Amino acid sequence: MKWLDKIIALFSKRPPAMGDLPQKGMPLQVVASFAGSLAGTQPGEIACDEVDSLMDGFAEIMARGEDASRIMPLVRLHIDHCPECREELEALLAVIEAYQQDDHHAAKVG
Amino acid sequence: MDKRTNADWLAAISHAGDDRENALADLDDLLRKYLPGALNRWLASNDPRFNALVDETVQETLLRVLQHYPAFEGRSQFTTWVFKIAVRVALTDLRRRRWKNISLDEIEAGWDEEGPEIHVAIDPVAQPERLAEQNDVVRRVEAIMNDVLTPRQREVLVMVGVHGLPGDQVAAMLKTNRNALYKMMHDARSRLKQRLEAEGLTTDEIISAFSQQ
Repeated sequence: MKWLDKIIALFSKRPPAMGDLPQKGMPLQVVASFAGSLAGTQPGEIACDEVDSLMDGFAEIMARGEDASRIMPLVRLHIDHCPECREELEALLAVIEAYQQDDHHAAKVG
Repeated sequence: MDKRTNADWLAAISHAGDDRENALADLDDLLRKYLPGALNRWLASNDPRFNALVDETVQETLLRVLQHYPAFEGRSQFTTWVFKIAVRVALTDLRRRRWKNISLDEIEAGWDEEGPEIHVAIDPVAQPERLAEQNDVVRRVEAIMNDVLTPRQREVLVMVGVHGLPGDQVAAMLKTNRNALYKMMHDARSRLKQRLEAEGLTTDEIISAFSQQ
């Protein structure tokens, strides 16, 4: 999941926190990131609620090593634009991968 | 490790009784076993608030499972669906806690009725040679953003881009929800994309001008 690591690294550089006020304007990299997201902007994007209803299936496809972006491209597109859904996908993947690892281990032992 | 199928889980949970209690107890165990490892990135497991976060998340998740299990469509394993609920509960809570002391008044101080103007901060030390060229593109983009975006869209951009607020916190402050906020910002991206293309500014050109090298 190298692509996911890259995305997380990009967005983990959070803009200044409130403690840094008074504000000096929007940091260049924030505008650059926003401008970069324009290229991928498409008319039929789905919003957070619909992505949430598909997120568990999407995460399982990823956890199986299949190409989730090809199978569910609209979810992928949303994840690229939405930091909160991206965080939730990352955490969900961590949970199900740990769960499945134990499951496979138990199956071998059993 | 639990070997229930999706149908087993639903059969157990859909009727009050021992089967439901056993199923909820098993979900409680699964959540307490697998959720903490995924939350470490946001809150260290030795933080005094960590155990309370896990407790509250598990309780809230089980409540939501009982409320929403009829809506489970079987697109994943039932346990994955439950983990998804838990992750959303926990991360929403963590984002809310992080920003709970920030008021909308504090952020809006100094804005007029038309909302904030977008102002892009250039650090002249970071790019001495390219400053003039960059400045031109940056100011054009800044002017387009102020012209094309609605006051509310600029407001959201400043809250996210300048103050670093997460989307669900912005949505709560503006008395809307994350879904509506995404749609609003999708509209903002679409308007900006169209206008920038009409003005002959390509995305690559902007990214190149804005990159700090």
